[in-house]
Amino acid sequence: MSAELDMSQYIDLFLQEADEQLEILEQETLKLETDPSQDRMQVIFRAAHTLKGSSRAMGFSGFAELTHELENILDLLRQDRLELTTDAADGMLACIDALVQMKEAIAAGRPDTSIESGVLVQRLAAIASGQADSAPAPRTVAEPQADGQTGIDPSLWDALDAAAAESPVLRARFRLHSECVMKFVRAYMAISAIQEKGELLATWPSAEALEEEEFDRDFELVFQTKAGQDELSAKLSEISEIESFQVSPWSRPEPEAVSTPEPEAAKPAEPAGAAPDAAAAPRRADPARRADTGQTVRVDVARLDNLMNLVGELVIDRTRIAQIASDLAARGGGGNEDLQETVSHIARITFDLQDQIMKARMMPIETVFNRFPRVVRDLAQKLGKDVKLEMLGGETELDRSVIEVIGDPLLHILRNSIDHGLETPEERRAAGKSDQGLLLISARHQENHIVIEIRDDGRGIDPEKIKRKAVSQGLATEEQAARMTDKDVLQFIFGSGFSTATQVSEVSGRGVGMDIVRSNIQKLGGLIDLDSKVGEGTTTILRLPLTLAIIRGLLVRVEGRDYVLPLGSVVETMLLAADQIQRVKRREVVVIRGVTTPLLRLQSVFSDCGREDACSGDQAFIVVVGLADQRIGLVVDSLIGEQEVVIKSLSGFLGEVPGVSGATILGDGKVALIVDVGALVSREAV
Amino acid sequence: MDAAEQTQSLATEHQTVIFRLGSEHFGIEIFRVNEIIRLREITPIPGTDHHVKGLINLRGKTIPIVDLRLRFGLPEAEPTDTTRIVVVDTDHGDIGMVVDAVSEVRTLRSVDLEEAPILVQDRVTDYVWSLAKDADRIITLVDLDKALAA
Repeated sequence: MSAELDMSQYIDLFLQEADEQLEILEQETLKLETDPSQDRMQVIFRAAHTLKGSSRAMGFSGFAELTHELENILDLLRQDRLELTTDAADGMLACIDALVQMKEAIAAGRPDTSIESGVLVQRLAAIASGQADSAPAPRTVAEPQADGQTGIDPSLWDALDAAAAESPVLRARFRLHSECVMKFVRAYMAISAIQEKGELLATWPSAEALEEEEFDRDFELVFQTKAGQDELSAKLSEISEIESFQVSPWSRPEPEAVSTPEPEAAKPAEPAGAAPDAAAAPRRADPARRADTGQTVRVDVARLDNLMNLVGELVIDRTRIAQIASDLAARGGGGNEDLQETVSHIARITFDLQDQIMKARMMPIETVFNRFPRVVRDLAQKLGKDVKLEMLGGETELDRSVIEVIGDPLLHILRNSIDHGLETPEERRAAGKSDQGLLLISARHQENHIVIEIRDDGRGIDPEKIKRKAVSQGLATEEQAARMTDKDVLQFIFGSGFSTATQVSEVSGRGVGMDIVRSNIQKLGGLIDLDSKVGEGTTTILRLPLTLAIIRGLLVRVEGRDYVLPLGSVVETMLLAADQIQRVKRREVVVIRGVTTPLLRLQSVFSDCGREDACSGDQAFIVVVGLADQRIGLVVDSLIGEQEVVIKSLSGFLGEVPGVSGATILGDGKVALIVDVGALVSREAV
Repeated sequence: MDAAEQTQSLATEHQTVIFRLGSEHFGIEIFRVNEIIRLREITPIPGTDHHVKGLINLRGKTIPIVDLRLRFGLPEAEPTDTTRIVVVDTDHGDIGMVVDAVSEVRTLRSVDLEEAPILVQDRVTDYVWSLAKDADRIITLVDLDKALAA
């Protein structure tokens, strides 16, 4: 059918909007259980309503039907005619899940009706009919009306019908932008546009209410006109701050409070309303504005990455120009002050540009946190636990490269806390704690890092239990275990195949987990640490770099080539006399403040001539690097200095390269390798 | 590419970039070639295959460089004035191939192509897609995806 072709350009838009609205739906529905405020109810209702409208306009009947049922429940809830039971909340969440599935089906090019929803529709209908009073409640004037219904005072309906009998009466529904500041001015402009072409018969809300701005974002005008609908739409679409409008013939609302999909289905190619011209399209293409997020623009992350690359080139060229300018100055002597000035100006601007683009790539960690309430709720319910989730510092920003990869490790830690850490209400009562377990997740900046803490007030980790387990799994002898400190014992949790859960549950206990979590965190250049007290709870602390795109690095030279050591893992640098290097069991070591530290010659890692430890010269530069408590000393030819470097991942063509975590381009345009310090330390440390 | 498609593509004309390694001529389809640049400083990567020369900076991107002589089992050669890097598009992103010289772009017609004889389809030469006769020389058409498999 031809409509399908017309729709295709709107599908992306629809999916994007659906993404946003579904997330709002889920987040707010979850919060509704603890805080059923009227405001929150309105937010949810609006999201459901928006989804219903757009899915219907797109002809996704299954999606529209489900949102309609959801909207019914929400409508009853906000009028206090239905109580929010756990059952109702479950139903709503199940509905949201199904909607997400449908959205994914649509994205994959399958029809939304391929997701079975009949049972769910019935379930929702049953929840809705659980309310006692089924008579329509009087609406407050300022509330947005259900789709397709008019808000015009019923006492005027007869008069409008009579007018319609003589010549066609049209109804225009407007929605203003959420941040529209002069609502009446916009409404007045719409009114005068209509009066220019015809006669205004009625308004909703009343003219006085419009003037006093006693309405939310929607208003309605009913009028007669001799102008064509296209002409009128073009006129109306010129008014700014109107998010959308729709012109349709006046018809008395049906007695049942359910709108008919037919009028919209008849013209599915116009989801933005009746305006078919290009001027109306940009309004539609701006769904972000609805989310009250202020002045924002969506940008494809690939574009930001490209920008970052371009800035990287600029930085390199800047260095070159500076070099050329100073060469000229040395040769020509004077006369090029302007050039010098311009060069330093360019340098400053480039620096600012880099800084701004880095900032543009930052996202609040909230985007990750938002997944958690649902997971925690479902899991706690499944395990029969009462868990209160608190999240702090969601506004803490970090680079999207980090955001993308920390979600799963965090989720894993949360699951562990709920499954192993927190007790059931009975157990908690017996231990003299409140029934409800507390799960606190917080994020904050600390120097150039972000620190994320996940704390529970559960039973804690019993070091004795871990020791026994470690011994029984052959990870340590009894004797070794007895000598270990509690802190050391906790490290077993990060060992592969280690699980203390006596039963393997669906949630955890398979012993794949914390080791993977740790290796993932380390790959990001982060650290993970555990702290636990029996009976009081466990805290997991993650320390992550703010960005994976740019790091501060220490530039070192080995055999004429420059390498980058991430500054985060550099402990100290020192110049040693050759005779301070000792040999223990065929390995070079150095004693630093009483601690024997193994040495590794970087050239033995990065040249083909194998392990070479003939000490050249009588001095050696040592860079002590560390991972957790382990330290090794890297022997290099010389130290160049500190520098911010843009990390380029190695091509997939190269696969994993031992000892190298990436590459970067230096100021002189040369490529330098970034040393995978973590891997070298774990390989060399004793 | 199944047999039918293969026949189809053979029936058309192939815009081919011809390059030289020693005295042998090779060709790759032009749509795979992003650009041809002069040899520049290559940063070696330890622990990679012998034929992987390292990384170069191509306008702010780092791309891996393969010495096609070594990949094809030919002896290593010192770079000359004509040595070039042919940057090609692969599933792993851009990859640069060092060749002795890039000579021209030729239009090869399907009738000029013939199946690679079984003889040359051994392990080292599994990159041969087909052979083309052009005037009095033979051009080996390279299967890039095989030649540059990770």
